[in-house]
Amino acid sequence: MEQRIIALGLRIRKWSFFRIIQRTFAVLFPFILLGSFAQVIEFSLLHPDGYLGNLILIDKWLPHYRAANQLFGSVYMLTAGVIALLAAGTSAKYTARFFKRDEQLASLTGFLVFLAICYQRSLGNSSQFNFRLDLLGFSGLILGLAVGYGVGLVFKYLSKQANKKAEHGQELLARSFKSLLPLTVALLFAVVCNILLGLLFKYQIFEGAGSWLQSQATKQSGFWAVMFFASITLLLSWLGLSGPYTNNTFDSDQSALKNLSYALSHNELAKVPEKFNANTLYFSYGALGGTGATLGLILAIFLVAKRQNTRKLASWTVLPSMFNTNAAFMIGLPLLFNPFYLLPFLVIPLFNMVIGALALLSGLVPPAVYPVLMTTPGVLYAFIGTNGSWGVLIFTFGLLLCDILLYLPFVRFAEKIAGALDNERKRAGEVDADQ
Amino acid sequence: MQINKRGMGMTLLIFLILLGLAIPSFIWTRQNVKDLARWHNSRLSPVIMIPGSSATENRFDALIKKINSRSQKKHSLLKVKVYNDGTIKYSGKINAKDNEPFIVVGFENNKDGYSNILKQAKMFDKAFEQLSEQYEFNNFKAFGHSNGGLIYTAFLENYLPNYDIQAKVLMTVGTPYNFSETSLQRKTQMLADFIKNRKKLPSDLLVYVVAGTETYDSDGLVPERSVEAGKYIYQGVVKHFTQITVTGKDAQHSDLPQNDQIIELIDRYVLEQEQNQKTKKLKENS
Repeated sequence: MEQRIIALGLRIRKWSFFRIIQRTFAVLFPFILLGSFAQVIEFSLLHPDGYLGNLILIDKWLPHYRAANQLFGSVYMLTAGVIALLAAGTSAKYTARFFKRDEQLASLTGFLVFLAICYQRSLGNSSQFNFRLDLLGFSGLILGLAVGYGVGLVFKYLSKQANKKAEHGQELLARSFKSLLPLTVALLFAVVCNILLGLLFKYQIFEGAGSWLQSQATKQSGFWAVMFFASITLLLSWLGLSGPYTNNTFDSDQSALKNLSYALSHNELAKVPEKFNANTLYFSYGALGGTGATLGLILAIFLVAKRQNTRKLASWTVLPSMFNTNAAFMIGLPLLFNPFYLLPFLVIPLFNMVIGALALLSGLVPPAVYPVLMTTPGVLYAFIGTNGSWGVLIFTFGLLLCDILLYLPFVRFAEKIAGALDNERKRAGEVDADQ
Repeated sequence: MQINKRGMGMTLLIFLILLGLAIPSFIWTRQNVKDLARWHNSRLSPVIMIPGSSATENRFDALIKKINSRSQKKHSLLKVKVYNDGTIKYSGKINAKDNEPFIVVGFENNKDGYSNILKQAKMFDKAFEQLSEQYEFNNFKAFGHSNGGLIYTAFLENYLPNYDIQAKVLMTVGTPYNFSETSLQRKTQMLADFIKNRKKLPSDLLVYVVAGTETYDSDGLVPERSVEAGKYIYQGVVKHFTQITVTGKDAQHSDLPQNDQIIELIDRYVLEQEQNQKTKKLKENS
């Protein structure tokens, strides 16, 4: 059994698309890490509703705190905010390298093609260059990777193998001429995509679908509805997209407001009208340590991982992950698009929610109904939401321990697959410069 | 399975940090819930009034005296004056047991004209912010005479969405939504702006627009057509929109706040009905 899982993992790791994604993520990692730290500072420390900022009353004593907020906002915008664009260029580069084509030009083409797709004809003010920001950022990541991969494939089929040694003037120019055809085709393709996307946006297909899901998620409550929307959110997060519960729904969720109103009038939590809603189940227990309960995975890596790179990744990303900003960790591991981690990423949060629901049902813990600050650590969400019930605090820390234990076997398997890959490479004597 | 010792230390450290954060979190949430509960359970529901141009915070003294003389419930009166440099001065006070006080907000700059209306709306926002922090009400009733209604419209569209406070009722009396234009064909800039932003108006608001008429089409100062233009702003976006025209004695523009008919309307539509008396009456009748 164990051997078969390792063999399966090996096969996935060798698959071209996955290898390209992995290399792309390795390049993107420092940008997204920087962006994550900026995001935590912007939203937790320097935001009026931020968690850390409110605990230390930062707006009372830090001068120019709004300006500082904007500064870190800009750092975030220029790193994690354009991550899909970087992904398009980088994945085009690695796809071209994988098929032994001109990687330099493929990379630039990937960059341009993605910009061309995101370009928006502005209505009035024509002196400005407009791009769809939502596609450039994290939520466009899947599109960026696909565009880069597509551009690489265009180079594969429409240009000849690149000669790596050709680096002086004349030959370089000759090489560039050869890339004219794939470049033109890719850009034309981009323009067509741009028009199609423009139509989709014009008729608000994406907004429509997204807001429909969002409005359903804020209207429905009860155990099964919450489990359903949580599963969708987790699945979409695994693809780098945002789901109905990606952002906290407290302010728009009717059942949460009903609970809050009841609790404020009666000053008791045990009999609130909606015991099971997004707030009491998903945000309290499902998102324990970020989407996918990834804090448990990071701590599991600390406990048993042997590979230096993985351990280093965990140490660098544990701080933002404590404040639910786990994008850097998800890209660094990688967890995104990684079929190996899909199972625990989906099941462990749902497990937490089932245990949480049982505890709520039996009256072991009160439901979390009070508002919570932005970027509150997932482990403290239920504690704050119950106005500081110490029993809830002990319960959530117990759940976090369970999550670590559940993630342990996956960390061990991932290590074994990586070890097997190393062995195989050594046996084959493969010397690959870019490994 | 081997457990990494440094990893164990790291995990313990993270647990300790999170546990350490629990203590300030506890303090924060206790205070926050206390504030929330006080605000949520607040019974205070003031009537906040704005006088028209060139009037002061004393404009409604006679009106409030008349209202108080009519009922057993005595409303207290707080007057607020906002100066151009941003200072806010108070006179009068809200009695501790009074759930429905009158608050009148006047301005040092009480000139006419759209640019002044916008300035006054901004000043009113400052006063409203202070009042809401001081008295922690979660809902209020709005009353504006003449240009006061314009200031209210600008405030409801541009500033109220920033608060968690419900405006229950708005009553405007003799408010020239289209200034002195007699035709709805010619929209002033102000009316166009109000119509543009009407979607931002609260959808649970009850609106009563009262016009006075001396002649068939004017209260002597404001054309009835201009008052009527309010429907283009409010109708369809707020919960209910009602237009009322008052004629007869004291229907001249400046007399409107003392008009008995209008006081009757304020009593019925703006002020809270005394629930107990009402049910008692119903029981007696049945």
